[in-house]
Amino acid sequence: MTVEPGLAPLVKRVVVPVGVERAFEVFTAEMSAWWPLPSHSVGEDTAREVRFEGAVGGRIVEYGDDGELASWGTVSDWDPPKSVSFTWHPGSDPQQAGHVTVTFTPVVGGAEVALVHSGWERRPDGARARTGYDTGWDYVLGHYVTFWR
Amino acid sequence: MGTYGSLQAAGPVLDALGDPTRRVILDTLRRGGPSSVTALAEQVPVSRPAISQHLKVLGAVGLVQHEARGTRNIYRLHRAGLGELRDWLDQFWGDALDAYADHIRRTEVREDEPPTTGRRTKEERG
Repeated sequence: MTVEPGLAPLVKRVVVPVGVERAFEVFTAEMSAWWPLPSHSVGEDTAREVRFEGAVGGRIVEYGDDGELASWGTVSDWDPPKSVSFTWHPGSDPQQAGHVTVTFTPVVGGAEVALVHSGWERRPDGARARTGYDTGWDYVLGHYVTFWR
Repeated sequence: MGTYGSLQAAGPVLDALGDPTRRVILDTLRRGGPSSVTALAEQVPVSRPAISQHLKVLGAVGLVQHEARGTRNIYRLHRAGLGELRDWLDQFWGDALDAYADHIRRTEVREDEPPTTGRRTKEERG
Protein backbone atom coordinates (compact mmCIF):
# COMPACT_ATOMS: atom_id res chain seq x y z
CA MET A 1 0.00 0.00 0.00
CA THR A 2 1.38 3.31 -1.05
CA VAL A 3 1.51 6.08 1.48
CA GLU A 4 0.80 9.50 0.11
CA PRO A 5 3.84 11.72 0.31
CA GLY A 6 1.61 14.65 1.14
CA LEU A 7 -1.50 14.88 3.19
CA ALA A 8 -4.01 12.25 2.21
CA PRO A 9 -6.97 13.71 0.36
CA LEU A 10 -10.15 14.16 2.28
CA VAL A 11 -12.87 11.84 0.92
CA LYS A 12 -16.56 12.01 1.70
CA ARG A 13 -19.31 9.84 0.18
CA VAL A 14 -23.05 9.85 0.20
CA VAL A 15 -25.68 7.86 -1.70
CA VAL A 16 -28.77 9.67 -2.94
CA PRO A 17 -31.94 8.01 -4.25
CA VAL A 18 -31.91 9.55 -7.71
CA GLY A 19 -30.07 8.87 -10.93
CA VAL A 20 -26.67 10.36 -11.62
CA GLU A 21 -28.07 12.97 -14.02
CA ARG A 22 -30.40 14.36 -11.40
CA ALA A 23 -27.78 14.04 -8.65
CA PHE A 24 -25.33 16.04 -10.75
CA GLU A 25 -27.93 18.67 -11.58
CA VAL A 26 -28.94 19.19 -7.96
CA PHE A 27 -25.33 19.39 -6.84
CA THR A 28 -24.37 22.02 -9.37
CA ALA A 29 -27.21 24.00 -10.97
CA GLU A 30 -29.40 23.79 -7.87
CA MET A 31 -26.69 24.24 -5.27
CA SER A 32 -28.46 27.15 -3.62
CA ALA A 33 -31.44 24.92 -2.79
CA TRP A 34 -29.46 22.73 -0.45
CA TRP A 35 -26.15 24.37 0.47
CA PRO A 36 -26.18 25.30 4.19
CA LEU A 37 -25.45 28.96 3.51
CA PRO A 38 -25.86 30.45 7.00
CA SER A 39 -23.16 28.21 8.40
CA HIS A 40 -21.12 27.47 5.27
CA SER A 41 -20.45 30.81 3.68
CA VAL A 42 -18.23 33.83 3.83
CA GLY A 43 -21.07 36.22 4.59
CA GLU A 44 -22.84 33.80 6.96
CA ASP A 45 -26.14 35.49 7.89
CA THR A 46 -25.79 37.99 5.05
CA ALA A 47 -25.32 35.30 2.42
CA ARG A 48 -28.37 34.88 0.22
CA GLU A 49 -27.49 32.62 -2.63
CA VAL A 50 -24.73 30.57 -4.19
CA ARG A 51 -24.47 29.99 -7.92
CA PHE A 52 -22.50 27.26 -9.54
CA GLU A 53 -21.64 28.30 -13.10
CA GLY A 54 -21.71 25.07 -15.04
CA ALA A 55 -18.81 25.16 -17.47
CA VAL A 56 -15.03 25.01 -17.38
CA GLY A 57 -13.94 28.42 -16.18
CA GLY A 58 -17.27 29.01 -14.47
CA ARG A 59 -17.16 30.18 -10.90
CA ILE A 60 -18.90 29.28 -7.68
CA VAL A 61 -20.11 32.60 -6.38
CA GLU A 62 -21.74 33.60 -3.13
CA TYR A 63 -24.21 36.48 -3.32
CA GLY A 64 -25.53 38.78 -0.64
CA ASP A 65 -28.18 41.48 -0.79
CA ASP A 66 -25.81 43.82 -2.58
CA GLY A 67 -24.57 41.36 -5.14
CA GLU A 68 -21.46 39.27 -5.29
CA LEU A 69 -19.96 38.58 -1.89
CA ALA A 70 -17.26 36.05 -2.56
CA SER A 71 -15.95 33.71 -5.17
CA TRP A 72 -15.34 30.25 -3.75
CA GLY A 73 -13.63 28.64 -6.67
CA THR A 74 -13.44 28.04 -10.40
CA VAL A 75 -14.60 25.01 -12.37
CA SER A 76 -11.62 23.20 -13.85
CA ASP A 77 -13.37 20.12 -15.20
CA TRP A 78 -16.99 19.79 -16.28
CA ASP A 79 -18.14 16.34 -17.34
CA PRO A 80 -21.85 15.92 -16.51
CA PRO A 81 -23.17 13.68 -15.14
CA LYS A 82 -19.97 11.89 -14.24
CA SER A 83 -17.81 14.43 -12.51
CA VAL A 84 -17.00 18.03 -11.81
CA SER A 85 -13.83 19.55 -10.42
CA PHE A 86 -13.20 22.99 -9.08
CA THR A 87 -10.60 24.99 -7.25
CA TRP A 88 -11.57 25.87 -3.72
CA HIS A 89 -10.44 29.01 -1.98
CA PRO A 90 -13.34 30.56 -0.07
CA GLY A 91 -12.12 33.28 2.20
CA SER A 92 -8.52 32.73 1.23
CA ASP A 93 -6.00 33.51 -1.46
CA PRO A 94 -6.96 32.01 -4.87
CA GLN A 95 -3.28 31.37 -5.47
CA GLN A 96 -3.40 28.84 -2.66
CA ALA A 97 -6.57 27.14 -3.76
CA GLY A 98 -7.42 23.63 -2.83
CA HIS A 99 -8.93 21.29 -5.36
CA VAL A 100 -12.23 19.45 -5.11
CA THR A 101 -13.49 16.69 -7.40
CA VAL A 102 -17.00 15.33 -7.14
CA THR A 103 -17.88 12.12 -8.98
CA PHE A 104 -21.33 10.65 -9.52
CA THR A 105 -21.53 6.89 -9.91
CA PRO A 106 -24.68 4.81 -10.52
CA VAL A 107 -25.31 2.36 -7.71
CA VAL A 108 -28.27 0.19 -6.82
CA GLY A 109 -30.95 2.51 -5.54
CA GLY A 110 -29.47 5.72 -6.83
CA ALA A 111 -26.19 7.50 -7.20
CA GLU A 112 -23.09 7.58 -5.08
CA VAL A 113 -21.59 11.01 -4.76
CA ALA A 114 -17.93 11.02 -3.79
CA LEU A 115 -16.19 14.24 -2.92
CA VAL A 116 -12.41 14.41 -2.78
CA HIS A 117 -10.70 17.48 -1.40
CA SER A 118 -7.08 17.19 -2.35
CA GLY A 119 -6.16 20.78 -2.13
CA TRP A 120 -3.91 20.62 0.83
CA GLU A 121 -0.78 20.70 -1.12
CA ARG A 122 0.14 23.18 -3.75
CA ARG A 123 -0.93 21.78 -7.06
CA PRO A 124 2.06 20.39 -8.92
CA ASP A 125 1.63 22.74 -11.82
CA GLY A 126 4.46 22.47 -14.29
CA ALA A 127 6.40 20.05 -12.16
CA ARG A 128 7.60 22.77 -9.85
CA ALA A 129 10.95 21.63 -8.59
CA ARG A 130 11.39 21.23 -4.89
CA THR A 131 14.61 23.09 -4.86
CA GLY A 132 15.90 26.17 -3.17
CA TYR A 133 13.68 27.52 -0.52
CA ASP A 134 10.33 26.68 -1.98
CA THR A 135 10.07 23.25 -0.46
CA GLY A 136 6.49 22.77 -1.51
CA TRP A 137 3.89 22.61 1.11
CA ASP A 138 2.91 19.04 0.40
CA TYR A 139 6.39 18.15 1.53
CA VAL A 140 6.13 20.20 4.66
CA LEU A 141 2.64 19.07 5.47
CA GLY A 142 3.47 15.48 4.73
CA HIS A 143 5.80 15.54 7.66
CA TYR A 144 3.14 16.94 9.89
CA VAL A 145 0.94 13.99 9.05
CA THR A 146 3.78 11.63 9.77
CA PHE A 147 4.18 13.24 13.13
CA TRP A 148 0.61 12.63 14.11
CA ARG A 149 0.46 9.01 13.18
CA MET B 1 -10.15 27.62 14.14
CA GLY B 2 -12.83 30.24 14.46
CA THR B 3 -16.51 29.81 13.84
CA TYR B 4 -17.25 26.30 12.86
CA GLY B 5 -18.66 26.04 9.36
CA SER B 6 -17.78 29.51 8.21
CA LEU B 7 -16.00 29.29 4.93
CA GLN B 8 -13.48 31.77 6.21
CA ALA B 9 -12.43 29.68 9.15
CA ALA B 10 -9.74 27.75 7.31
CA GLY B 11 -8.66 30.64 5.13
CA PRO B 12 -6.06 32.13 7.47
CA VAL B 13 -4.30 28.80 7.96
CA LEU B 14 -4.25 28.14 4.25
CA ASP B 15 -3.01 31.63 3.56
CA ALA B 16 -0.34 31.34 6.22
CA LEU B 17 0.89 28.14 4.62
CA GLY B 18 0.81 29.70 1.20
CA ASP B 19 3.93 31.76 1.74
CA PRO B 20 7.17 30.00 0.71
CA THR B 21 9.25 31.65 3.43
CA ARG B 22 6.80 30.56 6.09
CA ARG B 23 6.95 27.03 4.77
CA VAL B 24 10.73 27.14 5.03
CA ILE B 25 10.46 28.39 8.60
CA LEU B 26 8.08 25.57 9.47
CA ASP B 27 10.30 23.04 7.81
CA THR B 28 13.35 24.41 9.60
CA LEU B 29 11.57 24.12 12.94
CA ARG B 30 10.48 20.62 12.03
CA ARG B 31 13.98 19.49 11.17
CA GLY B 32 15.91 21.47 13.71
CA GLY B 33 13.55 21.54 16.63
CA PRO B 34 12.66 24.55 18.78
CA SER B 35 14.60 27.61 17.82
CA SER B 36 15.09 31.30 18.50
CA VAL B 37 14.63 34.00 15.88
CA THR B 38 18.38 34.47 15.79
CA ALA B 39 19.01 30.81 15.10
CA LEU B 40 16.31 30.76 12.45
CA ALA B 41 17.84 33.80 10.76
CA GLU B 42 21.03 31.86 10.27
CA GLN B 43 19.22 29.26 8.24
CA VAL B 44 16.55 31.21 6.45
CA PRO B 45 17.79 33.99 4.15
CA VAL B 46 15.52 36.76 5.34
CA SER B 47 16.02 39.39 8.00
CA ARG B 48 15.27 38.78 11.65
CA PRO B 49 12.40 41.27 11.67
CA ALA B 50 10.92 39.45 8.69
CA ILE B 51 11.25 36.12 10.46
CA SER B 52 9.61 37.58 13.56
CA GLN B 53 6.75 38.79 11.41
CA HIS B 54 6.31 35.39 9.77
CA LEU B 55 6.39 33.68 13.17
CA LYS B 56 3.70 36.04 14.33
CA VAL B 57 1.48 35.01 11.42
CA LEU B 58 2.16 31.33 11.99
CA GLY B 59 1.44 31.74 15.69
CA ALA B 60 -1.82 33.56 15.04
CA VAL B 61 -3.20 30.61 13.08
CA GLY B 62 -1.97 28.03 15.58
CA LEU B 63 0.87 26.48 13.61
CA VAL B 64 3.67 27.70 15.85
CA GLN B 65 3.95 28.17 19.61
CA HIS B 66 6.52 30.07 21.58
CA GLU B 67 7.80 30.28 25.11
CA ALA B 68 10.03 32.82 26.78
CA ARG B 69 13.44 31.51 27.74
CA GLY B 70 15.46 34.19 29.43
CA THR B 71 15.30 37.24 27.22
CA ARG B 72 14.50 35.26 24.09
CA ASN B 73 11.47 33.56 22.67
CA ILE B 74 11.87 29.97 21.59
CA TYR B 75 9.58 28.89 18.79
CA ARG B 76 8.34 25.40 18.09
CA LEU B 77 5.83 23.68 15.83
CA HIS B 78 2.31 23.36 17.08
CA ARG B 79 1.20 20.27 15.27
CA ALA B 80 -2.38 20.48 16.41
CA GLY B 81 -2.87 23.43 14.08
CA LEU B 82 -3.06 21.35 10.95
CA GLY B 83 -5.03 18.61 12.62
CA GLU B 84 -7.68 21.16 13.43
CA LEU B 85 -7.73 22.27 9.83
CA ARG B 86 -8.31 18.76 8.63
CA ASP B 87 -11.00 18.07 11.21
CA TRP B 88 -12.66 21.29 10.24
CA LEU B 89 -12.67 20.41 6.55
CA ASP B 90 -13.92 16.92 7.28
CA GLN B 91 -16.90 18.22 9.20
CA PHE B 92 -17.44 21.04 6.73
CA TRP B 93 -17.87 18.71 3.75
CA GLY B 94 -19.72 16.15 5.83
CA ASP B 95 -22.34 18.71 6.77
CA ALA B 96 -22.60 20.00 3.21
CA LEU B 97 -23.12 16.53 1.75
CA ASP B 98 -25.65 15.66 4.44
CA ALA B 99 -27.61 18.78 3.53
CA TYR B 100 -27.43 17.78 -0.12
CA ALA B 101 -28.67 14.23 0.51
CA ASP B 102 -31.41 15.44 2.86
CA HIS B 103 -32.60 17.89 0.27
CA ILE B 104 -32.81 15.20 -2.39
CA ARG B 105 -34.62 12.77 -0.13
CA ARG B 106 -37.08 15.48 0.82
CA THR B 107 -37.78 16.82 -2.64
CA GLU B 108 -37.01 14.12 -5.16
CA VAL B 109 -38.32 10.87 -3.81
CA ARG B 110 -41.90 10.23 -4.82
CA GLU B 111 -44.26 8.67 -2.37
CA ASP B 112 -45.32 6.00 -4.84
CA GLU B 113 -41.75 5.08 -5.56
CA PRO B 114 -39.69 4.41 -2.48
CA PRO B 115 -35.99 4.13 -3.27
CA THR B 116 -35.59 0.58 -2.14
CA THR B 117 -32.84 -1.50 -3.60
CA GLY B 118 -33.60 -3.66 -6.56
CA ARG B 119 -36.33 -1.43 -7.87
CA ARG B 120 -36.29 0.05 -11.26
CA THR B 121 -34.86 3.50 -11.11
CA LYS B 122 -37.16 5.85 -12.89
CA GLU B 123 -35.67 9.02 -14.25
CA GLU B 124 -38.31 11.68 -14.04
CA ARG B 125 -36.30 14.22 -15.86
CA GLY B 126 -34.07 14.02 -18.85
